Formats: sequence, C-alpha cells, structure tokens
Amino acid sequence: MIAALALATALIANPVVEVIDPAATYVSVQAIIKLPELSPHDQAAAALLAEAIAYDVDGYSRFTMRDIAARAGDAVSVRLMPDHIRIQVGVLPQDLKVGVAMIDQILRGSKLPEEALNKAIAERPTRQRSLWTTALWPFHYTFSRMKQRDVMELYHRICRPDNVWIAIGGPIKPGEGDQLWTARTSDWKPVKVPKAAIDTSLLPQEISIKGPEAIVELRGPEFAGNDPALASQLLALIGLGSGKGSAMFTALREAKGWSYRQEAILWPTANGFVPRLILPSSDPLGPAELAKGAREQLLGALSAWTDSDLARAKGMAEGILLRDFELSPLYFRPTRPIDASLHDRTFMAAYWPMKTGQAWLPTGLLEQMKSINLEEFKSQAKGMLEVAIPRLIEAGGG
Amino acid sequence: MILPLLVAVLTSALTQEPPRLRTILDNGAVILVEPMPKEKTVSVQLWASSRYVPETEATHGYRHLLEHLIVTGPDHDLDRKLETAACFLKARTYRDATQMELTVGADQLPLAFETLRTILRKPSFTQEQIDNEVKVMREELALLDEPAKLSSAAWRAAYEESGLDPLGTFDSMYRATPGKLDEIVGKQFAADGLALVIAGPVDLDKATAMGRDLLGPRAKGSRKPVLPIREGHPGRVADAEGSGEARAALVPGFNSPQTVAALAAALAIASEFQNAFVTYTPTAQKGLVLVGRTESSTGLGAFIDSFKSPASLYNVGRQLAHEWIQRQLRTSSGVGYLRGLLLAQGVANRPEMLLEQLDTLTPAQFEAGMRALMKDNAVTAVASE
Repeated sequence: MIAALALATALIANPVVEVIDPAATYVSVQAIIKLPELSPHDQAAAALLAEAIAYDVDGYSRFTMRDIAARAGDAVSVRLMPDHIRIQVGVLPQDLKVGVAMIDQILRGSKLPEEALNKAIAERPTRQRSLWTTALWPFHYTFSRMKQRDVMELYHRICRPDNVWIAIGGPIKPGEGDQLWTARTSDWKPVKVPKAAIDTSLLPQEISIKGPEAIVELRGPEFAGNDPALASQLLALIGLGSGKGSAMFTALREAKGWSYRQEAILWPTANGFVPRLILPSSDPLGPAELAKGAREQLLGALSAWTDSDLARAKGMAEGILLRDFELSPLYFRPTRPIDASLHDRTFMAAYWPMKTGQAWLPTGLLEQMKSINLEEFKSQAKGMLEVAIPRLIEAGGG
Repeated sequence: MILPLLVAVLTSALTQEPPRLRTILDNGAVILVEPMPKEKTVSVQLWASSRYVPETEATHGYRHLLEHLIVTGPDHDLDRKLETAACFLKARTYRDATQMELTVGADQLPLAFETLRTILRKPSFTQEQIDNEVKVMREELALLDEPAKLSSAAWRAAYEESGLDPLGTFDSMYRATPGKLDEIVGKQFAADGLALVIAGPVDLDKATAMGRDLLGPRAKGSRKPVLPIREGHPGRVADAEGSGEARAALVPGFNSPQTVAALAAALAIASEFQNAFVTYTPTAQKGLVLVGRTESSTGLGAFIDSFKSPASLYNVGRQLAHEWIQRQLRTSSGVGYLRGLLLAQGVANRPEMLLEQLDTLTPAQFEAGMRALMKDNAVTAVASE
C-alpha cells in the first residue's frame, strides 16, 4: 500500500530538473510554482504570498535561512511573475541538503505570519516605481479586505507537488538533487484543491504617472506557450525591438528621438505569452499620437526590411540565446530579462518545460529560427503590430 | 622553518591565480589580458579615465554625451555589423572612467578591434547631432531608478561639485557644442588614460599584441591629470527624487580596510531586509558605500542607528562582500569591468586588494564599518515623496 502511494505521488509530481555545473561555487535550489489565471483579489494575495512565504517557516527562521545562504554569498529570494512564483536560494555544495530542506519547508511549512503580511501590505505599494518598472507592471493591487486566510488558502491551492517544478543547479552529482528532493518529499501528497471563484476582471491599471514621461505600449496578441510559431514570434520581437539595429531603435529613437529605451519583450501570462512593445516618452505628441505614430513608423520600417535585417535579427538571437546578451526579450524576471547566472540557467531548465512542455534548449530554438525566411519574418512582425492594442499611461499624474 | 612555509604559502597563492598579463605601453596605456578558456565569449573593454576631464558644473555630463555620440561610429553602422555577427557593444559612463565593452566570440577578436579602432578615430559632430542626442538623453535621465537617484543625491551632498553625477543633466548638456566636445575627446582618449582589458577564451600573447597595435600609436596626454579633490562630509539631503532612503558611508579608496568594512556592513544590513540595495563603484579616490530601500517608509535609518549587536553580522557581512567581489571575477564581462575600472585609475590597482582587505577584516573594523553608516557619520538621502 505504501509503495502504491509513493508511486502515485511520483507520477503526479514533476521531475526534478538538474543543471550540472562542476565549476560553480554554489548550488542553486529553486521551486517554481505555477500560477493559474487569478482574480484581482487572488493576484493581490499572490503578491503578498511572494512577500511572506519565506519570512518564517517550520524549522527555519528567516535569519537562519539568511545565514545559511550567506555562507555562499547568496540569499533566499522570492519573485512574482504573472504566471509563476519563483523561490530560490544559493547554498554551498556541502549545504545542499539543508538548501533542499529549506525550499521544501517554504513550500509546505510557511507560517505566513500576520506581521509579515501587514508589512508587505504597507510596503509593497510604495516600493520602487521607476518609469520602466511601471511600464512593465502598469497596474496596482488592492489589499483592502485581504485576510491572512485568503493568502493561506492561495498558498495551499498552488503549493502542490503537481503544481511545483523543482530545479537544482551547480556542482552536484547527476541524480543527487533528485534523490535528495524525492527522499525528503515522498510524503507530500496532493490535496483536494478548492475551486476558486471565476473572476476574469483585470487589475486596476495605472492611467497616469507623475512627471513629464508618458508610457506607450503596443501589446500584441497572447499565444500559448506550446505555440509552434514560438521561435518565429521570438525572432520577430528581436527584429522589432532587441538591439540597436532593431526597428524600434532606428525608427523611434534614432529617427524620431521619441525615447531612450524602447524594447519588444516576451512577457509571460497565465495562459502563455504576450509580445509587448514598450517606450516611455516625454515627447509633446502625447501617448495616443505616439502610439499611432509608433505603429506607423514600425510598419514602415518592417516593410522595408531586407535579408540584412533578417540576418541581424538572427545574429542578435544567437547572441541572446547562446552568448547571454543582456539586451534580451526574455523577460522572465520582474524587471529585467534572464541572464547567464547559474540561478537563471537553473530556473530556465525547469520553467521552460513548465511553460512550453519542451526542454530548454537554446540551440534548438536557434535552429528553428535559422529556417525562417524574410517573408515569414516580416509577416510575423506585421501581424503582431497590426493587431497590437495600445495601452497608454499619461504623463503628469499625481 | 619560517622561510619554507612562506614560500609554500606564496606558491599556493600564485597557483590559485589564473594567468594574466598586464602590459604597460610607453605611452602610458595599459593592457590586461586574462585567458578564461571556459567562458563562452570574450569581453573586450576599453576604459577611458576621467583624470583629464573630471566633471565640473561647466562640463557636467559632457563625457556621457560624448559616449553616446561616439559609440555608434561615424557612419552609424557599428551596432548593426556587430549584432549581425552575434556580437554586442555597450558603453557606460562612470565618475572615474568611461567603459566601452564588446562581447564577441572566441574567433571574433579582429571584429572587436576593428570596432574600437573606428570609435577611437577622431570623431566630428554637428550641432544637430548633439541636439538630437541630448533630446534622447533627457529620456534616459527620466528612466533612472530609485537607487540611482538616491545615490546621485548622496554623492552631491557628500562631495558637492566633485560628486556630480556623471550622467549629467539636461540643463548642462544642452549647452554642449562641437568645439567643447572636441576638447573632451582630446583629453579623454589620451593614451595614458586608457586601459584595455581582454578576458575570455583568448591567447594571451596574440590578444596582447592586438591591444598593443590598437593603443600603441596613440599619443600621451599633454596636460597634467586633474584629479578632483573629493573631500566628503556627512549630512542629510531630504529632497532626493523618487522614493525611499539611503545611507552612505564616506570611505577612502577601494583598497582601504575602512572601505571594505563599510561594504561588508552595508551588505549585512541589506540582508536584514527583504528589499534593500547596496551600491559601491570601486574607486581609487574617496567614495561612498550606500545601502538603501525604496519604500516610502523604509525603517532603514532607525535600524542602523539603533542596532546593538554588529558583531552578530560580522560573518554574514564578510561572506556577502567576498562573494560580491568574487562573482564579478568569474565571468569575462565581470573581469573586464572590475579590472578595467581599477586599471583606468592606476596601473597598480587590482581587485585582489579588496579581497586581501576582506580576508584580514577584524570584528572591530567591521563594527567601525557599521558606525560609518550611522547618521552622524554618514550621508542620509531621503526622497521627497
């Protein structure tokens, strides 16, 4: 009977993903909790959960966890994205077992104390709201009427073995991470999940921002993580807005002087991804005219794309996927793209299968891009732009 | 017995260091090559010291403006060529030097050097080009995040004119003319202010020879370096832009025990909070180590001023500071940054000096580092929101 139960758990839990890096000086232990489509109230609860989940857990105070991570010069960190919560800690190789135990306890034994939740409710709304952060997260959470039990309920709803992806990276032996995790969590059983109320309304959006800068966004259509055209969509985004040879840089910044930073990014959502073309600008035209003008300029630029633009986009894609360029559309961290660190490589090894059903193989993605011709490149970008919805935040708000 | 032991220790220290070669050319330019065979890419970083062109109220932001104008190349085609070849160029202006970094593949060093050669050719600008770029830079300044804004305010409060933010302001940069920028070019790219670092999967001798070809023909600066005298003082600035609060310890050069102690203390304090930042850009001159938070009510200052047991954070601070330095030295880009920034300020400067200070940091020094962040000794920058 016990064996049968263990087998059932093993079938339900996602496999532990390992990233072996013998040269690394620390081990990255991560849990990625998938977020479904959430109501605005639950999204606010998720924001609080991310703040408080590692504050105090059974067996480990946050200071104990801080001290263990500090031995590796690292820290426990929790990041919220629209489609997941990422919990991460770096530990010394000899502390791997305790690192695994800490992540397990955070997932199963978080106390979510009122103190931590109240602190988060007080601090979160006033935390750094730079222009770019606001552009990426152009909405605010409503914490009124939030109760500890709401956050706790969400915690139990999403922290289930079948909804969590574990990744361990660093100087570990093959199978070591899996073995440690499995041994520790063999008693972790899926529980009956209460159904959440269906509420697909949107979070309140920012309508204006203090200062002279407005934020203009052209948001393309959402597509599924397993969309067969993912490589093509990504290449189109790179053509439009990654690098200084991109259409946004040349047509909006260099030709028009509308902005300093303008990027086309791949933004995760609960149901897949959305392409987002973002530019903050103080140009007197104002956001509505800028959005219109940006679309026209970009359509004009891409209609003139040649094989040279395709070659540049493919070169840039190679730089992003294989050479870890900073200027990347892969915005899977709250305010910036993923990077080449062991933490982010470990994250991608678990996140990409969760998101797309495929292993994270940058060379494979690049191989798919190589077969894309100019016509497809232009058509994908054009299709994205033509139906993109403008989202505007006016300048001069309070 | 003592001597053999010493030799053993020295041998051990030497074997732990990767091979690297620093070459000082006759004209004063310095080249450092660090082969890192396991790295995927080569980082080629040219650093131009600000020693002949320190920020003043009259030229505030000109180096930054110049950086924008020269990195595109005279035909505005450098980036396109690089990106097509899966390479990348980025540039950044710091107080002590301007950085130009090329990321290229192991077999693409000639492309990196061709790009740098183009950038170093004497540029010429029109007023229209300058005006257009200043317009774009106004947008850049608006994008500064809270830590950068708090840092800028703290520097200004601590060091006044010699603490001016190298990014400049619109009010100063819009007065730039082609003539004024030409003057900056001549001073900033004098050979004895240049440091070139090549790190990654490269051949030590070949890369050094290429660096020599690039920088060897350049003329030495004809003027005496104008090092700003940074005399800092504690204080408080309550109208920083943005939100949040930062405490900044006034520290001597990067290789002093006080600086390392303040860095370790700042990192330890930051670890007490969920969302805190630490900023320190290594400088051979006096500088600031900042710790801050960006919430409107941070609790940071009260925590620092009332903290009673600094010894309890000694190990945490040391470990975090050690890794803060070491992580940069594990990547080709980080090596280029840290070594280049320090070399541009003096050919004898090495990041290992920071590590050495850290290795011998005592609890008493760490406590002094904590005290340097207390309000009577530090600069407090509080945002006006």
